[in-house]
Amino acid sequence: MSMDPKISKGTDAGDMPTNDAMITDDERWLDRPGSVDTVIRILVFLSVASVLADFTYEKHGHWGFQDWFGFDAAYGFVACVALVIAAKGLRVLLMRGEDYYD
Amino acid sequence: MTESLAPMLPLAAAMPPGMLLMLAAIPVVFLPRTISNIVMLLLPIIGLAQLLALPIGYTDTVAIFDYTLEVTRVDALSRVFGIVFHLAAFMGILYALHVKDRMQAAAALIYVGSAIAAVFAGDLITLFVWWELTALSSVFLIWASRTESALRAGQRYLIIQVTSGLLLLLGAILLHAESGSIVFEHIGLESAGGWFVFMAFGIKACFPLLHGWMKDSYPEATITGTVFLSGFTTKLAIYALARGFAGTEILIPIGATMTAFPIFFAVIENDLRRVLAYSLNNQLGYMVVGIGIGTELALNGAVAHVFAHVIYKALLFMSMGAVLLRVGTVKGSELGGLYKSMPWTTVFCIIGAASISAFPLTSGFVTKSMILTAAADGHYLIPFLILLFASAGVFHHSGIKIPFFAFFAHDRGFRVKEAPLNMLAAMAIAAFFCIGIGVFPGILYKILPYPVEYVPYTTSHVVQMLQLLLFSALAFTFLMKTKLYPPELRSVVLDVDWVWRKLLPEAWSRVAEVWLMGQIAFLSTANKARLRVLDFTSAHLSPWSRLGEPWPTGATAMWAAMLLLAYLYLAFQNLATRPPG
Amino acid sequence: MTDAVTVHHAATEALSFRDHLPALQVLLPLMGAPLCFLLRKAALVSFFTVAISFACLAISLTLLGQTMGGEILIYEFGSWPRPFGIEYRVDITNSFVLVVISLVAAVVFAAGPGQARRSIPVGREYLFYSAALLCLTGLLGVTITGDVFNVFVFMEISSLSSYILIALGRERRALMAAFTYLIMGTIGATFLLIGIGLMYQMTGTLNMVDMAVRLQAVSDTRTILVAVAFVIVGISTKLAVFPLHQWLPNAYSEAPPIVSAFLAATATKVAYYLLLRFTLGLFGAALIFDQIGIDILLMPLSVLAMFVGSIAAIYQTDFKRILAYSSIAQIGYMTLGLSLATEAGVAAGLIHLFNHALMKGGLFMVAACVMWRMGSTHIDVMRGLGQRMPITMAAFVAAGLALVGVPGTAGFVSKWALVTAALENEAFFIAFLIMASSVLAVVYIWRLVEIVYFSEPETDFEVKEAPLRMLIPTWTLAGMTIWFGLFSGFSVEVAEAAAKQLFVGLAGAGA
Repeated sequence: MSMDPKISKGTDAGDMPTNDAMITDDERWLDRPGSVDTVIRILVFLSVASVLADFTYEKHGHWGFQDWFGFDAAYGFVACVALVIAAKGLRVLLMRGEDYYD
Repeated sequence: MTESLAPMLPLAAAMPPGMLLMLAAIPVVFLPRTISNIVMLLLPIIGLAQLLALPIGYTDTVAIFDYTLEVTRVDALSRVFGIVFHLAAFMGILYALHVKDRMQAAAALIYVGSAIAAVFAGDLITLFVWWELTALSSVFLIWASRTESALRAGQRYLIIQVTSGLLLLLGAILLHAESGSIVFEHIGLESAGGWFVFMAFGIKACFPLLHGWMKDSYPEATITGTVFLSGFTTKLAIYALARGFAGTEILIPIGATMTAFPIFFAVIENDLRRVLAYSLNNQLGYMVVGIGIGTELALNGAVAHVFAHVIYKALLFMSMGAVLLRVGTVKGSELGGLYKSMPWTTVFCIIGAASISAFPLTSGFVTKSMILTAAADGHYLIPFLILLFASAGVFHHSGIKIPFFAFFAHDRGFRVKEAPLNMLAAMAIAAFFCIGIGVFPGILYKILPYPVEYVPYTTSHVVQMLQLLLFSALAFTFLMKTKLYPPELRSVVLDVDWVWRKLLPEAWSRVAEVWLMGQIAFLSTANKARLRVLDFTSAHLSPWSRLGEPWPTGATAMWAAMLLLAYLYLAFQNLATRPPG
Repeated sequence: MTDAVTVHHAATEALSFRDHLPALQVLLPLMGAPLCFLLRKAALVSFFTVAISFACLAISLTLLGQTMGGEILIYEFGSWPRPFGIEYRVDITNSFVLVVISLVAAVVFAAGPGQARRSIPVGREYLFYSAALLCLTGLLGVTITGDVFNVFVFMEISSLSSYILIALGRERRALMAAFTYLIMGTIGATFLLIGIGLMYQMTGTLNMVDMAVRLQAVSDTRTILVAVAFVIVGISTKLAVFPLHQWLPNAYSEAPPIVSAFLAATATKVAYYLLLRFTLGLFGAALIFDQIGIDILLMPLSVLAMFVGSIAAIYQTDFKRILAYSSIAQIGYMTLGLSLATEAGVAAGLIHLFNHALMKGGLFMVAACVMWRMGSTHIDVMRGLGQRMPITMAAFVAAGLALVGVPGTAGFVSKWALVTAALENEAFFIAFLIMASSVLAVVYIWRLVEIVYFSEPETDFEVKEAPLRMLIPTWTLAGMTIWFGLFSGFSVEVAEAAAKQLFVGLAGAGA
């Protein structure tokens, strides 16, 4: 299964028309080093809080597994990782160059 | 509200809902632009007033051929669709107000009008007429892009849509032959006619393997055209399924498949409008599952989800349209950092993304959870797990991927203008409804076809949904950080449209080759035979032979002889097999 | 056997003007043709021709009115009773076809010779008109007569005059097309004549009713079986049933468009009528379907015609050729109706006969308008004509939609009837094929719409709308395709009554 050579490799800034000079003119909080980490930290905090919230009420799921501690959290995480890895595999099969149909 | 509009009834009853919009398409082309813009903005408002003035249970019939056609039938189900269609029409028109191309405006009005009229069709023939008109008018929204690929995508779209209509007509005729009735009520799959109608609806509703037309054509339409397209065709099909096939169990696996498989494609698709088309397909899956379950809660959930979906899907397409307008592309591989120059669009897009992901306090949450609950109530374990998986997935590809790659990710240095004012206004209205419905679900619940006892905001609903969504986000972060996430690549992802865009044409060219060779072989043989037969006429032919090759009189004479033999054989064969005397 | 059928013998009673109508139907154009030579002057001849064709229309409508109730009019020439004299025999079926022919003639002749005028020397237009009137005479005569040999004679009259009309085409190729048509027409006519001769040999009469009665006794002789084959193949050639269709595209596309409009809407319709008259009327449904089973052959040929004609139409680059190939497909629908071997099927065929005459007549009139202004009907010259000739092109869209079979047009009524008839036979696959072939019509009509409305004209010289004299006939026909799509009561009712009468057969209808 060979990939079509016309698919451009990667999304690195190098092969795109970027203007670094302009970006420095227009720096925002998100551009600063560490900001992204802060966002991630907030996300992790919220996620942990949502799991801990399971202690605050009693679960009455239709099926037993729904009542497991943190079920939805685990399901969401596993589902997404599985989804992306499966989709990556799908790429090998289904991806073609942009002008495939021309 | 209905009571206060009652005096308007005679006026409102003058024509079926939606007709006004269709009729207005003609003057809109000729009026000066400012006036026609005002007219167009007023049309959905007048149309909605007309609809609300018609009481539930109102019908209007027209006699044509030997049939009585029920051109208007207002009931609780059709009314919800009518309301949301008018709402979507208003937003779409506002969003497209800057477009100068009058053909698009006229096509959009006819399209929207026929979709509305279709919802109020009381019989299958009326439905068929409007069903085909939505197809014929909407294709102009694709062609209006005026590119070679849009032209071809539009042709493919048209063929498939018209096929759906023909299947509907064939089904209607079969049903009429069986029961003598063409009334559009519950149909079911007990009869052959029912299956034809089911397939017709299935094509428009993007059943798995029948969905290729949508992801193929929607991203080819104009910026504003896609916003219109996303609102009506598929939702009309959902309405028709809810009317004709509520409680048909086969819809549950079909719908569950629809929720799950498009998201795999959405993850690797680069064109963000196409990603939205995939997530549109995924959202239709929820509705189809709801219809398949068929309980009051499930049907309410399906209808409510349509209502919310039309709005947030339009919002997402509008935001991507704004990006396309300003930047000139919506390829994930080429976008990034747009939040700096298009802050309002970013905010509206995030609201739309939150709604489609069903975050609490957004419209998606109060509607999708009804379908999930109905699935659990019915003990459909596997469908339930698939829907849950798809809920995580839709957040993943629509909720995060769309805003992330378009507005954040790597800053590509685009410094463009914010979207035009009319676009922002349309997006603001949509965003307002997304949050409004999420915060006050009671308003939507009141107009659903069945009484609603469902309470969306319970601790368990909210916490479980938050867990699902937050951990999906966490998974996204994890995959990005570990570089496991597939990068956006400029590419084409094959889908079932491959069958007719690649496989069939190639197979056809093979067949054509063989056919051509056979023809040459046949013609040379036939030619020899002809020359012998026509020796005596050749003297007459030669004076004109310079006018081109001789025309096939000889061939036809030969065919006549062959046909004579065939008829003689037929006659005498039967004579031989008959007993003597 | 003669249940509830009133037969009106004109000869046995005192004759009023009204009783002479069947004779006048044919004699009027027959006498008119030589008169054109006397009148000479173009305007005068043209007015005269139109007046005659409208008179024919009035007569045929009166005849239809008289026969609608199931009555049959017999007109004996010179009051010679059969089998000695020739008689005209008018029932619902042929009065319906008479209406179609004279209606199209009246509308199309009103448009004048169209583009053909440019290839006729000034001052010789009367030749066109007299040929047209002769052709009309032949077609009306074939339809109205109750004598099989008379059928052959009138068929030759119509054929010979139509060769002249086709040869009036602009290009020299028109001569070649006329010649091909001549050969094919002669082959068809010869086959038919052989068939008639065999039938005469076995029955000793040329009168249709007598012949039908006597045929019953000899229906399983080899001679009659051979006669059936010759008659069907002969008429099939005239009707351009696949695979005997090859003369049609050249003839219709090389002839002047006005002539194509007239012939496409009438000549093949008369041939279809003859097919019904000979198979159901003379041989009888029992012999044709139960004993021989011609539907075994006719049905696949019809379906092939539907697809081959439509697919070929898609690949054509000339508007008239597209229409001509589409005619082959449409003839397929009609013969498919017959091959269903039911009343509903034949009724559908007759409904389509009527509707197709209107829409194909209208479309060829559009071609005539295009030819008039552009000098060609190649699709390239039609680029952007939507803006330049909006009224003509609107007529094209109306008639084109009818050809596709969009609801609200006459084409929908035909297809509905045909699909219903197929479903009645539980021929689901056939019903599906009818639908599928409609999609092909969408393709070739759409291709033209795209060229007409969505592409830029190749040249920028001024193009005016077609003259009113041609627009009015064009829109009369195009408008009627819409009118009879919305109010299909007339065509459906008449066709159903006609089909019912046809299935009784001439022998059953009695003297």
